Amino acid sequence: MKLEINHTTRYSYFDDVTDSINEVRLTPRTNYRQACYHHSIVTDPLTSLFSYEDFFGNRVYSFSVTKPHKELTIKTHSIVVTQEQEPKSESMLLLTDELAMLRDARFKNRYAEFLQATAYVDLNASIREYAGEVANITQVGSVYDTVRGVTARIYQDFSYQPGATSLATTAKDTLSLKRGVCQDFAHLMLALCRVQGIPARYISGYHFVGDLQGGHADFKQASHAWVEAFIPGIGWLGFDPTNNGTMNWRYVKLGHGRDYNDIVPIKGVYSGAGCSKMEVIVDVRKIEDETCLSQSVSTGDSNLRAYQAGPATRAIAEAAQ
Amino acid sequence: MFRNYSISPEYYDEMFENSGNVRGHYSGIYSRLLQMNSRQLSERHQAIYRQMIKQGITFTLYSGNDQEMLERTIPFDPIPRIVSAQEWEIIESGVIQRVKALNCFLRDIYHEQRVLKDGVVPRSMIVANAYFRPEMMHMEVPGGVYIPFSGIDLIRDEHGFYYVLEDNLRTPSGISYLYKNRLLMRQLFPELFTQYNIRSLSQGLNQFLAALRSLAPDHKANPRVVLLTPGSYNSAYFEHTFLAREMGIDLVEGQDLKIVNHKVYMKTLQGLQQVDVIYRRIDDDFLDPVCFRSDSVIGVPGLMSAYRAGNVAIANAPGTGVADDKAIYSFVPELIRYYLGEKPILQNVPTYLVENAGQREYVLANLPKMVVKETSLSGGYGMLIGPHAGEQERAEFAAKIRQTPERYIAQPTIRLSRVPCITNEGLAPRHVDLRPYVVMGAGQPVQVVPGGLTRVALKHGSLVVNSSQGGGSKDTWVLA
Repeated sequence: MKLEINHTTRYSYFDDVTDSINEVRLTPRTNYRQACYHHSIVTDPLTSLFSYEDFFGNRVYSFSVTKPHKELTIKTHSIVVTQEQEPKSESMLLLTDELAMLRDARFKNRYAEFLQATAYVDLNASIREYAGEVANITQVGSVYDTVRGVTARIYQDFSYQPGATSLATTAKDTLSLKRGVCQDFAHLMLALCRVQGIPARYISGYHFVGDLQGGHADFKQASHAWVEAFIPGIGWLGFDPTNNGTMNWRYVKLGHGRDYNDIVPIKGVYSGAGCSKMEVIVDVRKIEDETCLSQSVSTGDSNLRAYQAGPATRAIAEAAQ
Repeated sequence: MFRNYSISPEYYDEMFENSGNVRGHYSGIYSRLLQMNSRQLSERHQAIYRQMIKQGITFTLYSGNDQEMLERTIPFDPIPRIVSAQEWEIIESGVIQRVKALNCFLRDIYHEQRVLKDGVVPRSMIVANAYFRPEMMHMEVPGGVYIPFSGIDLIRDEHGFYYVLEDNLRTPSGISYLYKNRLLMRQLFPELFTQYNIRSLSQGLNQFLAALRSLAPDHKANPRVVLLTPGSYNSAYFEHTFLAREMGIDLVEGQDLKIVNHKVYMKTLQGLQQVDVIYRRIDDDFLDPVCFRSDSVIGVPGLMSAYRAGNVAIANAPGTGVADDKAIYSFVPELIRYYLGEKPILQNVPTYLVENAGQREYVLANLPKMVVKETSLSGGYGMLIGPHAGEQERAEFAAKIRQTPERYIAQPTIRLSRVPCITNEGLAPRHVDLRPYVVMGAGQPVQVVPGGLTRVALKHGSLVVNSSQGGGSKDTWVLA
């Protein structure tokens, strides 16, 4: 499916702000199931963009707005072709081969960053216990079915509830709260895969559902998060615990990382007044039939923070060496 | 003076041979001390303390509570530690070799990762390391120099052999004490400076400044170099002010700098002035809130994008901590062979990777003789000193080791060498280590400041030389 995506983010401030420094990760990736044909980014006020590829291969744009401004707008425009369905993928390996692969030292080294605990992905006793209950590879019989099973169990055991969690919620928090949003479910699923030795990474992207629900979208945002797990003998495959599903044309991947911290879509710092409003509009069209799948949303949340100095961090900022 | 001084073959004494004879290079100071009585010595000692307080040579001791920070002088012991020219040759060539190899290692880790592909170092040990900075991947750092300034901690065993205890490749502190200690010694024992031919420290900071300037982007003729400090609350603030003044560079805090279009500027009364090289005394985590810890208020937002764009040099480069980690330490002799094709001049203290099952059993069986340290893979600070720990503490630690072996390394307890120190009971031997400082610029030979920081454990029997644990320092003389 050929999709055209217009993504606008607008920050409005109570008063003039200055020295705004930002990093943007909103460029669709090209991989086995999607191809990014075109991507452009424009800011208002106009700035010079500096771009690089990060450790994970995500495209990053950074820019600064030094002069006073009351509003900052970041617009991206992308054309992406996605595959209708994920190609049918069945591992040819026997369970014993799969397990041998997961336990191999070279394999663990190769995917070490996607097997480790992070600030969001706890690998503690409670996670281990729950994983033993829902994701026992030996009982289930294959790595793919285990991961697919975890996807289903999270969908079944946890309720989708915006506002129940925050940007700081970790996998272990979600496990005890039994609810959350896509970001929380993705982190929980990463933890459940990683404690079993299955490499798993956090995916940020878009999931378009507007047309299916008659315009009254259940989901506040097209911005979505899911996971990719490494299936021995196949490779990285996507799984969406929020919708209990696998990949189809509605999923557009922007980037991946160890957890949310690695792929924050827009990160920034500025000096001055507070942010009164952050508005996000994601507009998608199927290019062939020009059907508009528009979704719009506005929220008060902001990733931008006012910048102030205090003594406490100064004291600890140089470790004794 | 030396009536009650004890020499034990268990420890190497820097001044005396086991027979009790004075080592040749100490004979001058030895006979000078014999001419004095303890009252004269203690009077000179007191004079030093008054001088130090007057000059504000202090460090801050944290008690875990911001309100209770104590300003202390680092205890200074006036009996110098003397390094003969032959010994220094080994130390100097040894630490240069080590820093060269570690710089190659860092370049490799943040580019081709040959060393991981060849299986010399396990990849998981790097990418899962708390000090590994994915942000540094594929970045060209000015001159290819990651560690313009480092400090290598050395100790001597009972036979007098030097071993490397630790590499400090992030923001090693203490170099200001070399200069302060030397100044105090000149006032205290001026006569010895004519008797001994001591290598001068005076070029050290010039060399460091030259190294920093050599990193300026585009080989600018007259680059602006600044020292970025967390501010006056930091324990090493005295050192930051000292270095900025001595090198004639600007001392700045994060809020004095700003980024405009991926270039770094300093706010001055004359307007914005571009900064070319930053010697930072702020940890990676706090350097840039856009890139690293977002709650840092002492860094410079956007600094990493300016760095990535090649518009500024940062010394030391972010991410060098991955090479001075306790687990990586055990690989350094191998890295010297791998990158330089040379035999290591200085030995490591034997280190057991507890992760390895065979080594683990050996460590657990010999726990009372071991020092067990947690590596930064977990970011913890747990440490077990086997000989000083009780039965129960050892048993608890053994359980932790079995649970998460990859978090620990173990070393046999090394008997640090001893030097005479002034104590309440007169002259007595105390344990010391030595931290020489290594300077590396772009297109310049690697240099070592002649001397280094001799840290001394002033408590009787103590092996802990850290200033926060009641350690002091001594002037270190390298003979020409």
